[in-house]
Amino acid sequence: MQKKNVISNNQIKNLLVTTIIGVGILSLPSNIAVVLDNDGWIAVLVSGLLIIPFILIIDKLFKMYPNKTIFEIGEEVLGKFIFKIFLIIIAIYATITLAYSIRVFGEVIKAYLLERTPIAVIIITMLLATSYASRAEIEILGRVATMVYPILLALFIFLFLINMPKSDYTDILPLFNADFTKLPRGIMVTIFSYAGYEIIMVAYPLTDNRKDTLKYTLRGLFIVIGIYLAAFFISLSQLGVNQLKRTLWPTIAIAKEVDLPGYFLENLDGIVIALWVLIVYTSVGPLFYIGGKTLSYIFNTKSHDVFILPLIPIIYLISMIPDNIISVYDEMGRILSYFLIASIMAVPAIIFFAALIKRRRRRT
Amino acid sequence: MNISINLNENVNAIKEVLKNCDDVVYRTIEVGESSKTKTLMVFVDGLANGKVISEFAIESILKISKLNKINTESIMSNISEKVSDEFLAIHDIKEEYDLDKVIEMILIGETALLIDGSDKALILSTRGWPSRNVAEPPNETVVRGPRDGFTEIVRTNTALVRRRIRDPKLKVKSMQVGRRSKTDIAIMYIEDIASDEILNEVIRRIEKIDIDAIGESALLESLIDGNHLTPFPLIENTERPDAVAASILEGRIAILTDNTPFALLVPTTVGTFFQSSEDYYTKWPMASIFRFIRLSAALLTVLSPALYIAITSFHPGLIPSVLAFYVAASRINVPFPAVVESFLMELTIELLRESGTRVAGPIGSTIGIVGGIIIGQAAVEAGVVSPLKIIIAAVTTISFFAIANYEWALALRVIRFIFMILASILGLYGIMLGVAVLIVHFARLDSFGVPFASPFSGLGLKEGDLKDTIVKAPIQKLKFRPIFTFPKDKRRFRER
Amino acid sequence: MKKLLVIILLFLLPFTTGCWDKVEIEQRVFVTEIGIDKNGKEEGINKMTVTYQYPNINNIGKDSGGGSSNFLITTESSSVFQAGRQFMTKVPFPFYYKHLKVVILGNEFLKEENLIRVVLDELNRDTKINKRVRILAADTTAKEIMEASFNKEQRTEGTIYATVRDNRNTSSYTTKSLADIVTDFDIAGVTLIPRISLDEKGSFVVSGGCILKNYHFLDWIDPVENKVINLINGDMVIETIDVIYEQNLISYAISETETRRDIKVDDKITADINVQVEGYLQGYTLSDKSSIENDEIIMNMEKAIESEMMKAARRTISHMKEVKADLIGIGEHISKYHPKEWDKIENDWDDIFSEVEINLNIDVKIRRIGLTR
Repeated sequence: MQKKNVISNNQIKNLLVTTIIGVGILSLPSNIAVVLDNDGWIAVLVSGLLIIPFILIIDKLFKMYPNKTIFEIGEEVLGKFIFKIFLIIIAIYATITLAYSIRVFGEVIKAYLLERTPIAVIIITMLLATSYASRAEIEILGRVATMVYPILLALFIFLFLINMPKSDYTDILPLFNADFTKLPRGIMVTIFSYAGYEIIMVAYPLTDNRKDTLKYTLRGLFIVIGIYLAAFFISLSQLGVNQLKRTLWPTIAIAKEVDLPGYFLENLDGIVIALWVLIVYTSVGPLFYIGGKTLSYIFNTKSHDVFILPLIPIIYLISMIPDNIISVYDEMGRILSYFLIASIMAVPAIIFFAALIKRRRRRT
Repeated sequence: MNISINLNENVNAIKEVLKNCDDVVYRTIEVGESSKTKTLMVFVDGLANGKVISEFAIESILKISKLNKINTESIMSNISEKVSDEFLAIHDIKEEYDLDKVIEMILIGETALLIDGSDKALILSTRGWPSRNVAEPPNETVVRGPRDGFTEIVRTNTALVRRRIRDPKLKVKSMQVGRRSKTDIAIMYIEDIASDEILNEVIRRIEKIDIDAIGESALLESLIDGNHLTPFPLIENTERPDAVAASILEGRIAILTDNTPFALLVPTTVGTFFQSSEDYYTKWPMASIFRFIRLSAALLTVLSPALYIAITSFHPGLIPSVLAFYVAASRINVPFPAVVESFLMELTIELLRESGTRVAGPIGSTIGIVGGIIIGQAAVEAGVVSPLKIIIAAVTTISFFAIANYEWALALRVIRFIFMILASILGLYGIMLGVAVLIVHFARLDSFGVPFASPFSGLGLKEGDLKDTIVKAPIQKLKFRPIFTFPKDKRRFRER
Repeated sequence: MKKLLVIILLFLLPFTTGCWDKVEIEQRVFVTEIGIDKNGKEEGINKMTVTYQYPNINNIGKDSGGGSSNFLITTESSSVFQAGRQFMTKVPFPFYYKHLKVVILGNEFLKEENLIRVVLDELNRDTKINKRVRILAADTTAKEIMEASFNKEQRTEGTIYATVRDNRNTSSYTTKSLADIVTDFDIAGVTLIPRISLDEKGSFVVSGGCILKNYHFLDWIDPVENKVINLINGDMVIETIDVIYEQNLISYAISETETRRDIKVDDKITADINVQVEGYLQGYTLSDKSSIENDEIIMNMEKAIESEMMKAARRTISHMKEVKADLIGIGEHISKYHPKEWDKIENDWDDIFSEVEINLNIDVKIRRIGLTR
């Protein structure tokens, strides 16, 4: 019989991939091409590799405190008060990220599918639907991720295949011609696309096979990097670097560009957008869950679903703050990158180092 | 209440309880030439097998009365033992001291034998009542495969399963459910395969039931499945003994209920709903294709009308131009918008389906012809409905019947209407939201502790359970039992 | 109780909405072609005359009525989509642009750089328009061409689109989509779009091309030059070349080509372009015995074809240099393979291009000769 609260390593990997890949992938090739031209892929790769040490930190942390949840560890290592402050930062991060993602999502749907429907309707229905998932426990999210994961892979393979006939691979050149002083800025742009990996902090302690979890998690990260690189190269070879810089959402644009009437393949952006709704759903759900869980810990409630529904209006209001899509990417994106570094990088690192110090102190 | 030695007291007590039950028969026989000890047989006419009673019970007692010339006085008190040990030819005889129990037994169909001077009653197993022959179940036919099906007698059903698994480890646990119906149920499982935890959970849930009657296994199903808010069945049912036997061998647990040929199988996952007995009796490439067709059928039946609404009303840009123009042309003078058209057609087909199932035989097929062909044709000729919509409705209906499991198809029927509503408000976006919520719903369900969405949702992916769900791998590759039953013995067969 | 409230709320939700985007498919007008001309009047904001073509839905499918297969409407307007709004006063249903296939630019319009930039940006920015709309240049007004073709052959997508869809059958013109044009402008500053005109009988002809540079008209080129350009760019699919060989006509059909560019950037830029052409012999003359007796004849034929092609190529290249239009991808090549040099010369490329030494070498092979000798 299945014990409650168990996740398999495979589910953790799928959870990682589907949570990270969300709204970011639509604009990623374009945003990074603006900074680094044809060499944007370098920033994508480097950002991905930068996440590895954080995953290792988390793995180590759970090895030091086996069978404890991240909340218990944080409390033990940092003391309740400081830890709760960090959690507040994380909760704010989660809320703002949700608002950002859902706003971008709404804009895309409005642009491609539902022109006249008010964006509020699109956003609120999406939030209501995701609340159904986020009110559940993490192992349910793992199962959902496992079911959506093959769809995600299939979508990218499909995109790759349909673009093959008309791609000009020489458009990827010239390589290594960009201004490398811009690389740090490029990394700032791309690092945001890897947000979501922190879901493993919640999922780690519940795995059924502690030994291999790291292997699976890293495999998941590499798959994400691979998919991002593939998206970048496909967009680049289809659109050419200048059009890529102009296009807001190249990943959908390349599906739109397919026109093989002989094979009855026209206007494929419908399929891409339809599946993309699922992809965004699986990236918003776990984030929502983290928000709820964090708040539940701060306010000491028994379960987290009390917070989910009240968060919906808050997220909606925040998402409506920017006036238009440019300001979403610009201002909100900037605020978000600070919170991001603070919460998903600084927090695990600080907990880890504090734990190290504690251990050393205990030894002496 | 205890049985008294005095036969008359007993008789009166029984007659008091079974007042106005005119189908109860009281047969007095005097035994012993000299002592003339009175014996009384009580049974229900129709429930107890009259043939058994007259040929065996009454004959044996008449034989005793001849032989007992010598021993009547001394053994009078022991006559009951004499009777049961030496002479009664009935294969199952029990002794009973409690009158209430005796009455219960009578109502089951046993015959009670009361002897004057003894405080013991003998319960003779004479159960037999009119029942169907073993025949192929009408809803689960196969082209190749056994053609026997369960009947309404639980003992026959257990026998049909036992014939297929002649293993002493095949256990049958009997329980009774229902305060007034006292329905017999039999739980069958293989001791060294089935998971103890699941078995104990099943027994625990059944024991918790406190209800008047269990008319059909469906009632039992809804009482023990643990979640009544979902349209999806969490327990599988079947009329086929070969399906039950195969499932038990995979580690599942079968629950057979008296008065119904539908057996319950526990635990159940989404994967099992794509399997049909026929898959195992056909060659694997064909079986794989059929499985795939079933999967497509499930998708088609749920999504076709919704997609039609979404594409024609919201996103005509999503289909190739030639097709879009053609659809527009076919809908030129149709008075209804696509949404109304879809709902009308779907409801009409639901009506046809319902009326078809109520009425069997030749009238039923007439309804099919009238409804399907004439109404459909007339609707198009009159220009009320566009021909494309009729095609879609037909495809949806046919897909519905292509799905292996009826309960599952019924659940999908409900979901289809929900998708249509979503599509009519938010188009393709609404449909995808519905899909997402549906996926989460599957992830949240579990059947007796087993995640319902296995193997798609993770349990069993590593062990390769998908080999027997989406496709049908050749039997040589299916060495291990599926993991969702948590079998104790994982290997199905060993290579020589 | 709470659950009941939630369920009721959710149930009521559909009834409070307006199904904002729901429009029945037969109540949409699918624009298949758009023609843009320069508006004769000089003042005012309406600088363009825009013509829409949309299909007659009644004519599609098995119940075709009579009547023309398409409709046309025209108006003066400031932009393409503004025209759509203005048409709303005349047409009962809203326009739907997702199935737009062809945009024709009138010859006067082509000379207006600002207006072309406006139109291209509109089309590029819109969410609905498929970036693979084909763009054509008309040597009369677009309106005339559309009027000539709109009620001809019954084709739901429009006859012009069907002809211009791709280059699979001929290389007399080069099909360009919106995406192609924008990319070309980004990389090389010039592009080549097919030229559409009317013949004497009043039906349309697509042949030759029009060079656009920096968003305005540069020059026309004829079909032969177009074929050469396609050949050098490696886009040629099937084409037949007629060559006179020993007073007889050779008809040579090209089946495959491969181009290799080798560009050296020193003080001078030298471009060595090697084109490998493979094809089959379509026609020669039927003589009493076999006309092709040995290998030598084939080689001579090949040489004749080569020299004919070189003649056309030289003419084309000098034309390009004259108008300063790098249509054969030399600039693009440099930008990709010698990016450092390209950064230096990018701004002066127009003038530098005229000075580039282009060594073109065409190697023709007759691989198959059909069924007879």
